Amino acid sequence: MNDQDFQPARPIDPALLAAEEAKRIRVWDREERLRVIFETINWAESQPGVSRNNKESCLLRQQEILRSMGELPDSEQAKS
Amino acid sequence: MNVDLVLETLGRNQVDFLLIGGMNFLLRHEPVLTFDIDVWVNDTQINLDRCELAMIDLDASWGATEETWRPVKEQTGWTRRQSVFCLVSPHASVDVFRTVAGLASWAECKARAYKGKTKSGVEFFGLSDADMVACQLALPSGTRKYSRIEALRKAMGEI
Repeated sequence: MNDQDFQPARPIDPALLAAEEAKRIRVWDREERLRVIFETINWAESQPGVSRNNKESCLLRQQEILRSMGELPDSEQAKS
Repeated sequence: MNVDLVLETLGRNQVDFLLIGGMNFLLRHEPVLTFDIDVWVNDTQINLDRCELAMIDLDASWGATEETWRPVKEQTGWTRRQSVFCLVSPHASVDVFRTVAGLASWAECKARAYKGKTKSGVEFFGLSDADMVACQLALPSGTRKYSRIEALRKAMGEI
C-alpha cells in the first residue's frame, strides 16, 4: 500500500477498545470462539512455568482467594 | 500450536512487534487466564503493510462495523483506520495496537524489551516489566490489574 497521507495513530480511546472487543464477540461464531479459547488455554498451559494445575499454583491461588474473603489460610492459622 | 503460529507468522512477515498484555505477563511471570494475543506494532507505513500481510496469512477477519466485517484478505489499508483492532482468526484472537496508553515510543520500549522463546522455540520480543507497569498505571484506576502490578514490582525488586 502506498498512501501519501499516512497519519500516526492517535492515543487509544478506552471506549474504542471496549467497542472493538464487544464487536468481535458479536461477529464470532460462539462454538468457534470457544474452540479458539480452549486451544489458547491449552497452549498457555503447555508453556514452561505457566501451569496453574499444580500444587504450588493451587495453594497460591487458594491463599489469595481466602485472603480476599478475609479468611486466613490453614497454614497461617496454624502459625498464629 | 495457535499462539506459536501467530508469533511465527508475524516474524515471518517481518512485522516489528512487541508482545504485550496478559499473554506477555503469563509467559514471563505468572499464570493468568488470558484469551487474546495482544501485540503492539511499530506504527510505520511499511510495518502496517507487513502486519496486514501477516493477518492475511492467519486468515484473520475484521470490520469497522458488524455489517462490513469480512476477511482481511479482501481489504487493504484497514490498519490505517484506527488505533486498535480486535481481530478474529481460526488460530487465536488477536488484538493489534498501534499505540499503547502510558508508553510513548515503540522504539524505546523495543530497546528495553526482553527476548522470549516459546516452548516450541518461536522467538519474540515482549514488553519489559517496567513498561508493563507503566501500561497498567495509565489505565483508569477501576480497570487496573493490581495483582499484576504487584507481581511486576516484586520481580523488579521494588517491593
